[in-house]
Amino acid sequence: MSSSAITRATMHESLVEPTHVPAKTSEVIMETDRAETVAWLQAILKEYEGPLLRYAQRITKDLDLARDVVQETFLRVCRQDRAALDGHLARWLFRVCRNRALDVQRKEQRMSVATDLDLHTLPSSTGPTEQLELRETNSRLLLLLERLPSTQQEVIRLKFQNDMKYREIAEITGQSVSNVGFLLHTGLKRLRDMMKHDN
Amino acid sequence: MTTPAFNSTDDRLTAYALGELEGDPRLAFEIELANFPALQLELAELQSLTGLLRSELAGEVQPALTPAQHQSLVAQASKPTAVSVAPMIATRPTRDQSWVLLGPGIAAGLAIGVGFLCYPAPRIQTASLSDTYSYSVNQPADLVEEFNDLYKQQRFSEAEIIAKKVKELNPKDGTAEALFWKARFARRKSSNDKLQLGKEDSFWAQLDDVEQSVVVSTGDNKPMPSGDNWKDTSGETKSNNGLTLTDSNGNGARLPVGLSRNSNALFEDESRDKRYFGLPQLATTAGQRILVEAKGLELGKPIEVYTGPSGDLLESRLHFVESETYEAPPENAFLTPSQQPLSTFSIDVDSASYSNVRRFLTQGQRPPADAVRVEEMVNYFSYNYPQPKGDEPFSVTADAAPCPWQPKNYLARIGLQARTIDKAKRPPTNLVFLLDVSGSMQAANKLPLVKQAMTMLCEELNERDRIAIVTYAGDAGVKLASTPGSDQVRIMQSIEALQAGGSTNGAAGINLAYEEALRHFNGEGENRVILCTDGDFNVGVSSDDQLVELIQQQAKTKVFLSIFGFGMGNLKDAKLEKLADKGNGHYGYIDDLKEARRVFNEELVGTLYTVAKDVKIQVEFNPLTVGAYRLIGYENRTLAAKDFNDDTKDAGEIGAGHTVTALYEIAPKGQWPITQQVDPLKYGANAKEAAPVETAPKQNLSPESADDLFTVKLRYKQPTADVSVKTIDFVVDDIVGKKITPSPDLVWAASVASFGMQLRNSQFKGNWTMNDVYEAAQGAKEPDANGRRREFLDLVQAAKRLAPATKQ
Repeated sequence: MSSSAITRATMHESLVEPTHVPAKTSEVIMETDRAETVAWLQAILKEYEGPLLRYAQRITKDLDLARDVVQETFLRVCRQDRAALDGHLARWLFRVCRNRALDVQRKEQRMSVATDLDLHTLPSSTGPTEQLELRETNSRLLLLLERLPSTQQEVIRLKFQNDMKYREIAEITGQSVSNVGFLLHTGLKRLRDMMKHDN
Repeated sequence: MTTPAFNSTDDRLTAYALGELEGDPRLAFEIELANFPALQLELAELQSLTGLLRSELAGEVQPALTPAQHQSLVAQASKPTAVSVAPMIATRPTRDQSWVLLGPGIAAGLAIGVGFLCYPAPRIQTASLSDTYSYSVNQPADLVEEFNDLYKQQRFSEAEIIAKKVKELNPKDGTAEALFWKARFARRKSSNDKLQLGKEDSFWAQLDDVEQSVVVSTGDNKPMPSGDNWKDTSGETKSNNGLTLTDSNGNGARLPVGLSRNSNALFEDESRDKRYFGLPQLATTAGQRILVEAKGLELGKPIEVYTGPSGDLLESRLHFVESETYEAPPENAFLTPSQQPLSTFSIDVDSASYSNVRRFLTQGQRPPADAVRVEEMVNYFSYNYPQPKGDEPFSVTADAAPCPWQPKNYLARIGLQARTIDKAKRPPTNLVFLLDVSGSMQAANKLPLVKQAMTMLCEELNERDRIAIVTYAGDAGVKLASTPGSDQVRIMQSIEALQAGGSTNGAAGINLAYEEALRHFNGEGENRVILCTDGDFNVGVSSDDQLVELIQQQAKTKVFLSIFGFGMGNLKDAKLEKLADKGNGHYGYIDDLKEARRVFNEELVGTLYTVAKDVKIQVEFNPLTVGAYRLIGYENRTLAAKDFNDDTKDAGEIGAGHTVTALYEIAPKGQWPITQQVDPLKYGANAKEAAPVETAPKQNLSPESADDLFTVKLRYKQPTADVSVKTIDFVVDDIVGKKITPSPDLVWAASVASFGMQLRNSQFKGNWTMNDVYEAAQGAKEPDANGRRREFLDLVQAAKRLAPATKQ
């Protein structure tokens, strides 16, 4: 990432030429560092906030939960060594976001099983309306896409919405590259078949 | 190019369209593409679809974080050191069911609004619970948090207990109820899944065995090779159809023809636990995968393992070893009352043999003869005997009827019914589980089953009970110091934490377990060590005799011993029975969850609460009416006549609710063939009795006793007494010339006995076949409250399908 490259350069300079920095050297460096971190965070927020939220929402099926997930993902990335993330930041963000979202979703699913048992005593405030939010686009193709198994949908979205390579998708979803290829192929094949039927 | 290399499942097309195909594969694909117009068409279609997808998907809404979240993130990022986790901004704290998801603080605050603190929260009933386990606050929110954590870690039984607590606090809250059932279902599901997997494993292992059984000859007294022993290599063997000898590349591997068929591939003269590592070790040395071939294996024959391109001999001392061992004394023979009027034996309430036989039969194998103990088969079933009167610990029933498999003979039955105890009124128990957690216990039908069985049992315990867990494997250790039965969470946690691994040092474990039991000895209750093992004691005290001695010493402490055999393949049946016998104990074999439930849960009271110990039966047969008699089964329980009155002689225990049944086959006077008699006695009062034609009544016999068949005498001790308190006499009249219709219970017992004798291929099995057993049992199967009798009928059918027994 370019922003992180700048950060490194800045840090380097100040370390090489300490005489230019008056008095409380280390504090100033930290100040600079913090400012850099915030700037960096804002940059990656701008780039990834939307895509990650869209991705997490697909998994959690709930925007608020997805927001929590993404917030935590960004919090975590702030705690990472930025240099180490260089070059695979996107993969890192998506993978962490995915794992966290799955955790949340599993928990949520279990809870909804528990609460389903006594729906009559505790009427649900969430439900169909929230689900509808997910599909506000009326595109026929996207409606058909919804009918694919979620694993296929996921790789298709990562590929065409987030422009990931097979290898990146494999890393994010924890599958083998060949499996990603297979899932994509099968998903696209089914989409084509469905479109033909649809016509 | 004549045949298209492409079909619709070829994902190269997609990879190509997406630019993922590179180098040679790409070139190869392009050649195909050029050759097949159909493929070109598909590609065009695909490309238009991907274009469409890209644009459509790009248009999907991109939500954003809330401003508050943004602020929080920026605030975090500008903190001096980015370490602590930021407090999450809860975006939606108000969905009323979602309280289960929230952190303790929020949930507690919310609780007031939602109202589950409106119910007066009762104190947890048992003081020990809140004292000994660290729930500082027993608030629903905290508990729910804990529940969620446990559930997430799949520790369902603990989660269930937490749910129970939530329920106690909020009896009217439907969500608490839901939590409880959720945990319970999850626990059942996961235990069923585990068992299912175990069953599948053993099914595959048995398939391997079928091949095995073709090449390995096993006599009647040896069990069929057990599939369990394939374990370590079975994965590889299966995937290669069981017979592959080459490595995965198919080269460089002139590998073993016939390694030992089991993972017990034994390094001679080395300690037995090496067995388990034999194969992997070899494989490492050879740097190759070593697969086991079923062909050419022979018992005791060294197996040579070659490896490497030069075919160096790697190991020639591997042996095919038998793992299950059975031993049994010869069957009881017919005895004449004139020679031996007294038949004395100890009762036996064990039923391990039945479960073990069932295991063999359901796997389509005939059990080894010595694994069949007829009395244990008969005693697996409960019979309808009257409840004892007053304070008597048990009632005695005795009767006789024509013998079904030998119509000229009689079949006499002696039945004991121990007093039943209301579960609620049972005395407190002080239990010490002594668990074998050695490597051999890893199989699904061993330690995991033990854990489930323990979980079931622990659910029945309350604050008056104590439970401790001691393990042995390598070095023995106390995994759970004696804990009140009400502290379910800690108990469950200890159970969950148990894992198998290491070798077995049974002796050290036994000592530790008895120590733990004595430390909390309950004078008013039941003190018992429960040993769960596959019987593979192999470090420290190793000879059976030494072990028996150890147990005998410990038995003097008035701590009883229950031994449960688990799993198969390694089961040392004879050793376990002997240990239980010497340790004032009870021995059961547990082959599946159903049996575990039966023994651990349904019979908790009966198995664990002894109503009488050292119960001995002595039967005196009347030489005037009885030509000869034979005790069916109880071979390893027979006592000398004088032992009956000797209180130092150990005998069997009877637990609350148990029934004990003993059968005699009696040849009436005149039916007993003269040729089998010894010479007539020349001296003594009985001298004339022995003469085959003698009919004159004994001078000092009262007339009313003349047509007795036999008299039953019983002797027993109260559970904690050292002196026998009582004997009971019971007389059975001769049935000669009488029309006797045997009770269904007697028919049932006879069927089971005949079944056992046929499985043993007993010389006394008479003229009955499996068909006769089936028919008779069919007519006597009611009542069958627990389904055991129906299951027996299935076993008879299974036995019928097997090859007939060969002569011993």
